[in-house]
Amino acid sequence: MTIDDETLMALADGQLDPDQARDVQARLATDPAAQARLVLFRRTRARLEALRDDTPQAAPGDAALIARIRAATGGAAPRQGSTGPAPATAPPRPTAAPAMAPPQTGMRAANANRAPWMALAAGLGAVAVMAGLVLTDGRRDGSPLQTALAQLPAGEGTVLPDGTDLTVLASFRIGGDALCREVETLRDDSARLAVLCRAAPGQPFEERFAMDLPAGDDYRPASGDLEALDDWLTQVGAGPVLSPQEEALLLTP
Amino acid sequence: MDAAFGDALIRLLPNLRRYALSLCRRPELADDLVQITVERAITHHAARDPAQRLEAWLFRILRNAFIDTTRRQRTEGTGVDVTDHPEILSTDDAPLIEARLMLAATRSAMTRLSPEQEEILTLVCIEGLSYAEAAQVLDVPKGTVMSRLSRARLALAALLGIN
Repeated sequence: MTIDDETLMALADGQLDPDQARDVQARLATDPAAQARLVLFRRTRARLEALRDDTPQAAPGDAALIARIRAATGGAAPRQGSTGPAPATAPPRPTAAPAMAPPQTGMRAANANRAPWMALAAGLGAVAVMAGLVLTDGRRDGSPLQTALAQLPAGEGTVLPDGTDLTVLASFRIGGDALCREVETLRDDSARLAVLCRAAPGQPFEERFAMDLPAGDDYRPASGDLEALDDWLTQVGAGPVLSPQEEALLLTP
Repeated sequence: MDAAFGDALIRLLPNLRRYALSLCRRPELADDLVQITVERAITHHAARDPAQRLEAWLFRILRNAFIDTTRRQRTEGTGVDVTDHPEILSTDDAPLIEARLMLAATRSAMTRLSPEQEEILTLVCIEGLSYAEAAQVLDVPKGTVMSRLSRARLALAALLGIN
């Protein structure tokens, strides 16, 4: 691993300036161990951010405190539209790290984003399975999965309410306007690679390809030897991986 | 002092209480700390540097109040530990329960970290302070924030089985 923990953490926390972030992302592409480390920092942050919205919003002593504050700040009555204590509003979140730019165009570029278990899978010979084991519960519009697929740029991820850790690896077009998103999911140590596509903006993403990946702590360099996926991409006539700019035009802000 | 300041202060009460709990882990003491913070914020409002975000300023006041209080008390308290009261699961919605269990696991792991680690995680990852702001609150260099925070993240990951 060529990138130290504090730098990876700062990337996960959106605390690097854009130039630094680009530099680290370029080095990440060829460093599976650092990619795994980045995921660790991202996941710990996600787990803690979940607590932000879960803290009780008002305490019994608040009424007296609020009265005290109102008295000291000019006795203003609650303003229009605010009834009592406002809900816990989180301070503005630091800007998320920019999307990891694929280092080259073409389908192979997506492989650079793949997390380490991908590489392990490649080594062991991945087994393609039929779709529908993990991600099927999220078909309905507005579900956390659908929202994540419609919003997250490649290189970013989130933890879904069911505990699934989802990372978007790449976006590409398939058969005209349809948008596909290649994702990796990790849940209870079972890792999976899937491609979900939507026919048009506003339509739900449906799973079109999926394969299980053995997970492990053992990292190997990503060789991109994913025959099942490559075969499927060829078969459906998938376009090249979209650049971050092209992708951004298709995602929900 | 204007009403906007009062509104902002009221809006941040839950954040102050959460940070206070991460420092002392005792609700009654946390309430005291929040109250002291509010009083000092009202008194010293004029001295605040407008360039500094209100959160960071208030957290700093609260932290100083905590240090004052511990200095005065010194003895081990026998207050009720909030973590002794598990959440009541009020729904049979399985994904929701799972999400709550995850929250409970995260909370429980936080209390098993050192107070210093719990504090830095609260400031940066829950309250959303930048490294520079956390450094101001804790009165340490930014490099110390980063090394402390990264160790805390690794410790939390180990407790949560994230690897």
